[in-house]
Amino acid sequence: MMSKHDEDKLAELSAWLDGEVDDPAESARLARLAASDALLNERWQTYHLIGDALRGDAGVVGRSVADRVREALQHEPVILAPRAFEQKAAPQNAITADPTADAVEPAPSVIPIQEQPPAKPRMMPSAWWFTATAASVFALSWWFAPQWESAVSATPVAAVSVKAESTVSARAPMVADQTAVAWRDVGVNNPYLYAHQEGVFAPVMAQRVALSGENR
Amino acid sequence: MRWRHGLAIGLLCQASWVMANNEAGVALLEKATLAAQQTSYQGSYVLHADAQLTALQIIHHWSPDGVLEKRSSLEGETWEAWRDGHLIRLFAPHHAGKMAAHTALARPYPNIFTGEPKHILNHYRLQRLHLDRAAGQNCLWWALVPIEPNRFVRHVCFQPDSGMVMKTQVLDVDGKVLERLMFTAFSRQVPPPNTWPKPAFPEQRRFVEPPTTNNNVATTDILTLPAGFYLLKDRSRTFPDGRQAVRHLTFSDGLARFSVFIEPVQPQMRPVKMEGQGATRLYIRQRDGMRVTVVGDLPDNALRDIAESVSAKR
Repeated sequence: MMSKHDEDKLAELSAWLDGEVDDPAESARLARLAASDALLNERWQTYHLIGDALRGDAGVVGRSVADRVREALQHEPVILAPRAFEQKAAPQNAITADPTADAVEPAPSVIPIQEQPPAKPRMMPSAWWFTATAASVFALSWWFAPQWESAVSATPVAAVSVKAESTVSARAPMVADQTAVAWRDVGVNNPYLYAHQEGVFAPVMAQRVALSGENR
Repeated sequence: MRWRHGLAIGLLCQASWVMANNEAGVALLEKATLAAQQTSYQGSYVLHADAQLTALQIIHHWSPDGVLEKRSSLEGETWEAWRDGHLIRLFAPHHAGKMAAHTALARPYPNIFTGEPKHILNHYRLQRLHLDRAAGQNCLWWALVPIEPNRFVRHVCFQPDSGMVMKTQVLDVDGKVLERLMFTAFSRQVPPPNTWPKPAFPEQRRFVEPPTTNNNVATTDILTLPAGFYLLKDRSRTFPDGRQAVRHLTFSDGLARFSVFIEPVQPQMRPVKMEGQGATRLYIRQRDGMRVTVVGDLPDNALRDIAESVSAKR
């Protein structure tokens, strides 16, 4: 269950992602918080995936999103809280309360606030939010997934990638003992990546400089 | 005869519409480049790739005398990068900070259009998407859809007035977002550079960024280039592990960029084929005593084709 503190942080993150934090210092604080806090970092991704889905970036809406939202919901049970205000004993203008009434009047289409029936136990806003977004994502997934899958199977893109592999293998066999290594295992110490990155922002390195506390 | 006139008029209208559309697209990209380079602004932005979030800060001061820019990390490994004209200085307390700076600086955000807009739009088609908001400001998403295969799709959210790139995404062929960059705070109010605090760490490296030129040196004797890519740099370099000199070629189409490293295979080299980091992918090919490594923000197919096309002629 999320603490109040976490809920507040998520509300702040949501506003920040919506571009509604105008104060640069506050925004910088939230950026630091989002990057350093595991919960916010995870939610960042979920918010973005949901946002992409709701905006109609169909490609982003895959089963993985639905799975992720489902997982998020599983890890965060819906919070049911009792209504905060007192319930009335009986409605004052209840039909059965007036035995002298000659005829049954039709119920008003708009019930005054004071006469509204007691509210059902309500979920916390965050739970509503997740339920609503999950429903939206599921609906979008249902909408897009068949088209997407059929598109993937119909378009040559996926097939090309497979065929290209075999074509290339036939044309120029790849090294037999090639081992797939996750990039993160190699890390930023990969000299090729390092050199490529350096070439992007500074194609020519002018010189190495002394490191001893030089402060220019 | 009448139908021929109709056809001709139709073709003319279509051609003029395409031309006007292309001109508008060029103007949009030029405006974005000017906004990123020749205006003053500051803000924080985030890089999101491979489930990792990196928060960064930028202060960019422009005057007719030149550009002074400072980028720094907001969390994790601390570093600062100062750009004064074409001189870049990297400050970090230790090696890890320098490495983290490399990853961040390799994304030249928000100045993402490093090539001529007209050249870029010869190879990408602009497609208007929808409105959005970033850092408290409106922006309009456009897709840059590659005309040729083997490139990533880019989504870019431009601020309508200034053209500033407020958000950008790189998507694979399935539409999956590989990495995104976005401003989370943005302001035009920039303090004068003489009031900026001095770097808090020792200087680690110093670079000179030369003016960008399209160097169309023929490289077809070495490799088959994907359409639209041109050579930025061809040089020899050494790696810290003391191996032999490696030939390093860098290419760009104005938006995507890749490097090709060519070197003799050494006995201790482990032939590896690696995955990517966000939109940056890597492919290694070893054959006939030659090792070819291609790194860049291109799909795996493209990198493999480039690597496989490299011939032994040097």
